[in-house]
Amino acid sequence: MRVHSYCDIEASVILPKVKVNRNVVLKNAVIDRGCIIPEGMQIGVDLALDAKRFYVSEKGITLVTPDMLGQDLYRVI
Amino acid sequence: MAPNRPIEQHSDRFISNLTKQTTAIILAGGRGSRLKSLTDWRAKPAVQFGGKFRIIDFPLSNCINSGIRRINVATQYKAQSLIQHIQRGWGFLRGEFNEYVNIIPAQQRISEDWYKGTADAVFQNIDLLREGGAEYVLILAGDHIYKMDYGKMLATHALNHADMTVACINVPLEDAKGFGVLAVDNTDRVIEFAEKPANPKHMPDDPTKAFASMGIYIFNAKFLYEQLIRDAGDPKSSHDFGGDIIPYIIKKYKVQAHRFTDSCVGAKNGNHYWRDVGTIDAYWEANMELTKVIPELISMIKSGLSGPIRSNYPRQSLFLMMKAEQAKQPIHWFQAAVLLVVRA
Repeated sequence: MRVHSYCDIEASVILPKVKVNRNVVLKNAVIDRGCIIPEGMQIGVDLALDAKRFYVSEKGITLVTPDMLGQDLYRVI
Repeated sequence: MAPNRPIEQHSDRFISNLTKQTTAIILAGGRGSRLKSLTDWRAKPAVQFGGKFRIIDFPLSNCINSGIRRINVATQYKAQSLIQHIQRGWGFLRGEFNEYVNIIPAQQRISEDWYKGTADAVFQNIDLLREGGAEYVLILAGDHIYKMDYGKMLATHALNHADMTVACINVPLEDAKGFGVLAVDNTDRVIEFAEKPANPKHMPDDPTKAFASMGIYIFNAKFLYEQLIRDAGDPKSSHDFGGDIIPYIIKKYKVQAHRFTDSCVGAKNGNHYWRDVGTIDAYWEANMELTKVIPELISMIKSGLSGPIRSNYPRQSLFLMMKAEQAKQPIHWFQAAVLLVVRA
């Protein structure tokens, strides 16, 4: 896993082979294996927005998987 | 149906004899759908936890530390990641000494069905267990975080001449609705079992708490085979231990409850660490607990958690936390999050 410069990561569980690009904010998030977080993305800041693109739990934890980011790590077809 | 041999004293030697005669089977086929997309591509036991570990490392480690070295892992749902992890991380047992971690995928051995339920997963592999020649079979769920000495549970089982023993935790009465709840008499013999009851029965010595099944069972091997064969022939059965086997056998045979508080390893100040990381919230919270200056789990790790031998990273991070604690420095959230992160 690799975190680039100028990121703000707080209370997050990050699984292996994740790349976090510059200026990313992660708060109360679970990032699945192999995600590439695009530059400047904010996760766990605006939960209403997160609920549309990711999964947000009852207690406000955001789960991000490669599939939700449109990355085809697990895609077969 | 207790094994026909004299019961020695409850000594270490007595327990090590019991563990030697035990084969474990870990049921790791479930999806864990409450973990949402985290289990889209791996079974729940294969989910990473606390740095280098996977959830299944905890029951596996418990087996090794309890002296049980014949372990079968029954897999079904999206098992690739799990199989890879077990192959790479748990290949250190010696076949020459009859020690192994065997992976037994669902493979339509008996009919065209995959594993239909927890009991069916064991039933389809009875021949493998028989061949191992075990006297006791320890059945484990592959999806909880805890540290337990199964040897003590085996001692409870043998000393009570039980046919089957169920391990249980104390949960507050209102939380018990989500579990399989046991009602016991004053000798801890199980007299009733209800899966997710609306009105759970309380413990004999505490009216605010209930005995909840941990999904950990010990059976006398022959008794288990008899019951599985009977259950497999029952067209109404859903072939589940909690739903079918236990409710049937408590009326006719001796089922004993074993208290997790008696066998939890590294318990501190009356806290018996056991976490069901079944939801994203619980999973996140259990991981975050590890970033506390002295996490509850650390006493477990200090008291010898076996694990896959691929890296020493989490030990290092826990060590850093201990050092910070000695220096009375608070750890910043960011530091903590980074410490937890798994090295790719």
